Amino acid sequence: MKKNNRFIRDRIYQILISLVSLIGLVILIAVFGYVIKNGSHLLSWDLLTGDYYSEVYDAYYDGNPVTGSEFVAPSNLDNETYFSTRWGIALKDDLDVEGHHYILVVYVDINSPLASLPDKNEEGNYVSVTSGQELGKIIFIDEGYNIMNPTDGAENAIQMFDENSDIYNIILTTSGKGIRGSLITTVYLIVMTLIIALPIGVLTAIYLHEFASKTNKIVGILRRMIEMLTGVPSIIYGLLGAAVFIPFVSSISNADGGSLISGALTLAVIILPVIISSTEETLKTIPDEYRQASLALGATKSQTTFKVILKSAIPGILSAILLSIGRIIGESAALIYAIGTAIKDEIIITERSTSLAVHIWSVMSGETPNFELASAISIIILVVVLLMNLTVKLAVKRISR
Amino acid sequence: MALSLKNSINIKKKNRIIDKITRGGLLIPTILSASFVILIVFFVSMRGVSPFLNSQYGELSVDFIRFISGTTWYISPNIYGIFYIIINTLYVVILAALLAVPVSIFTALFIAKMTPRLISGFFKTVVELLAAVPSIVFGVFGLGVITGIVKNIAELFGTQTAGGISTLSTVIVLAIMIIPTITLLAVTAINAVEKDLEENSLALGATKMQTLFKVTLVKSKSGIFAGIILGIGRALGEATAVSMVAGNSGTGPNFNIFNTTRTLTSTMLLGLKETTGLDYDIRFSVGIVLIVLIILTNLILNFAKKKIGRFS
Amino acid sequence: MKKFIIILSLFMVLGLTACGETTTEATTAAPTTEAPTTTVEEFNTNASIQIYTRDTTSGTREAFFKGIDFSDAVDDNQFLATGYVEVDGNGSMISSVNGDEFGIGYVSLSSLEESGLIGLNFEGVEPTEANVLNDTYGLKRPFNYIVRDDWTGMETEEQIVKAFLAYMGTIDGKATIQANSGILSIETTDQSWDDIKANYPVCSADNSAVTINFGGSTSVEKIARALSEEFSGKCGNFIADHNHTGSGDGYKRTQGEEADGANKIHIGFASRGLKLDSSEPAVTGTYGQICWDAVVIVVNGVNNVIANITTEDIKKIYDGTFTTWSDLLA
Repeated sequence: MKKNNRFIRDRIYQILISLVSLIGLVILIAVFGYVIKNGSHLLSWDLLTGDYYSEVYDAYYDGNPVTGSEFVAPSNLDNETYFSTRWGIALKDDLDVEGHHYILVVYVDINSPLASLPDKNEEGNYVSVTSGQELGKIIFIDEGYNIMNPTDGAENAIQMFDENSDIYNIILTTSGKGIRGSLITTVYLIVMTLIIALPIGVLTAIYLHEFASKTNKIVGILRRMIEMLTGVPSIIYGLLGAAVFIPFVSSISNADGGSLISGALTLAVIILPVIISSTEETLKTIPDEYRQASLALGATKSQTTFKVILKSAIPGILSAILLSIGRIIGESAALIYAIGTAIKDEIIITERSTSLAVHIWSVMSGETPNFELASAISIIILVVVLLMNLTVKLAVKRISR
Repeated sequence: MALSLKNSINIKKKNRIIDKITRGGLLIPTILSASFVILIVFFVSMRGVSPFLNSQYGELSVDFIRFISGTTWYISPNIYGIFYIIINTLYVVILAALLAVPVSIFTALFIAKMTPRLISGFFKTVVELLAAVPSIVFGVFGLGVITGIVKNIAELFGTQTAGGISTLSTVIVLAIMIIPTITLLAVTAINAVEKDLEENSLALGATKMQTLFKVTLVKSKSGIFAGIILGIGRALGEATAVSMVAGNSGTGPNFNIFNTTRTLTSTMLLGLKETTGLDYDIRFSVGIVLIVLIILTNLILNFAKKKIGRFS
Repeated sequence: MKKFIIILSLFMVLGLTACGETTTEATTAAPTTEAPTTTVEEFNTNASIQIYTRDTTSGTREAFFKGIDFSDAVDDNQFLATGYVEVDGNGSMISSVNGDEFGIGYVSLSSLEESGLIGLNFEGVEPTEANVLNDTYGLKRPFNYIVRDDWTGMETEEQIVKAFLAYMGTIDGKATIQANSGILSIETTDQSWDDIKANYPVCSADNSAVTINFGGSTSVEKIARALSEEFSGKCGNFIADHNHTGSGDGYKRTQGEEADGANKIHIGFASRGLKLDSSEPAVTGTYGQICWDAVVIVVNGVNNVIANITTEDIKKIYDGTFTTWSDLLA
């Protein structure tokens, strides 16, 4: 009887533990599910390759006065799209990826004067209004000026098109809000950070494992100090960036304030412990026979280290690189301090711009928060980070076999 | 013959010199790597001390006693109080640890002892992936999902939250973020327990669960504790995700889990976009407090770990 | 060792109850960005009012507290009712109040329509652009510009900036400001850029090697960018570099302590009035107003018990005199 009881209790414990251990899995699925549900419809080639700031087209029209109702609306327009019979243009209200309203050009008749308007700024150039553009302000000119304010919506805009015959000024823009700049910044940061951190990290690992005496107290202290870096939270690294690297970079280049260089330096310190420990772990797995064999053949210790040992340590270094890339892509708090939060399209390494993770931060604390764009960028970050980690895991498995 | 001997001695001498140079050369990056800790402490302190100095801010300099004992973050123009923020931070982290530790230990037991290799490998990968999810993503998830759940929980209890932005949301987000850290170290610790001990226990008639709890866990508790220390360290320093769900209460301390809270890290990030001068530099002072808090917590926990390690 | 297990199982229960709920609901929970799906039939007026405020660096906060006659609270959280939530930006304000049916906060008028929140009438006046312009709606703030005083060594930049200022006053510039949610009145008698561009010979030259640095308020950034992008094409394609870091830097980097440093700018913006008699003694003729922005008091979309609020009442909400919605309605 008692024995039976014991086994029942055992079973209960077992079930409990199994249930609890499902929590990790459920969270992972929930995180993925959430960002995919909210963000996947935004993910597109345009988002990835588009500029954040839109390109401006500035035009006017003073040709033959547009009269009458000549144009016929195409049959495939939905009932939220408005059509001007006088100008042959169809417009509708839309939301951009950040959730702002704007007027979208849906259709322009090929015979419409809008299909080819003289450029306001450069004589001889022409601007064509095409579908997909965003409509900015229009200043119509009749007896006086009539201003179309895009915040009043598409219906109002069409009404004004129908009432006016000359355009003093029309502004059109490409849709913008793309994340190409932040994507490129992230790549820049990865490359620059690795260029800075890899040599320092690998050489440090080699010194600690191959050259330093195991009993030397000073070496012990150095080792402890490097280990302490792993416990430092990323926001403190951000303070380091703001207090040391930003002034340092400003003094040696024409950067003013945060820059990609100061960001990369900060990230380099963050990933340094990862590179050192990962490299050292591989160095440990290299059998001593290799070293002895090389030394016995008359090679110096330096030659042995750099020609034999380093070569065998490459897999470990590669996995350190992959893990570092994951860390760099996901880092936010440190970069908010060490670079800043300004989103840019043209990436210059002595100036500010945001990585993808900080782009999310900017989007969430900007004028209107946008979970969808944040989720879309999160998908990119998650996929890259998880791919890096899975690759490392698989590679390590294969090597250890 | 003599010549070649001399030659070989020369070569040996030369080799030794080359090795010495290499060793010296390698020492430079090593010292550089090690020096960053000092750089952090030195420069962050320098900047963080400046708000308290008359030389830098004159009449605007911050009173240190009021800073360290204050229960209101900001009173214009120069009074900053951080005491309640420290208490809130510790409270949030302790709750997060209480939530995360049992889940982590059970998950670790499950992965290490209770399943066939294929399944345990899968679960371990899941935990490892969870560990790699960046903070900002947890922030978006926390604001989008967890605050909603907390809001509903509060309604169940008949109270109100600020749309779920609360101590409890912060605790849950933090717990999720440290579960992988603790779990992975616990798995390592549990795997390191000698098989003989467990087999002996089973042979003596103990059930599998009794063995797991009374032998395996007891033997691996030092390693598990190391994981907990690491997890708590991570929780103390976690910034982005926390700042998105904490709510940043201006006074405190607050112990009601449905009210808003403010941690050291969320204080450092709030309003950062548009601030300069004293209000910017004070964030470095908060940073120093954070560093000191992390070091103290580590020391205390390591001391506790030694005590626990003694009784087994 | 029993203790150890007891404690552990205690943790476990705690963990299970809390985390169990988390996880089972996590997959089904609706994101809070969507309007609350559970529409409360009867708004519970016994619930406490949850107040939200921007942090003390915010210009919107300054305009709000000054507008409701609660100047003490502009820089000082200690005057606010306990339990307030301090949010980091207009965006967080919108998402916070959207997620809290008992919340109250304030946002910029330009983001009201997209926010899904209910904007309250203030002192019986509806928050509209027209009411801001005819001076009946009280919660508003000016958007100002400030340019350098000392142009030594930057003569071309000075000419371009002067032309830019003139452009902001033309019908072209005003229409652009309006299209980007700035509130101003446009008269049909306003001059157009075509009328006055002959007065600015610098714009007919090639300025593609000249960089004009814009800075200051982040709230004015959208308007400033729209203007500079458009005006660059009309003035020799100069390069517009925007680095907006806050209203305080508008003065500091044109005429203040950083005017000659690495962060100097040619034209700055402030989303509030300049502090001319204290910390920002700008030289006459170097600053001016661009347009207005209005601040709107907002409540959650399900809050149907209030449509108008008085100065007195909103102040009592923020200083903690009123703690529940029924206090306010009484």
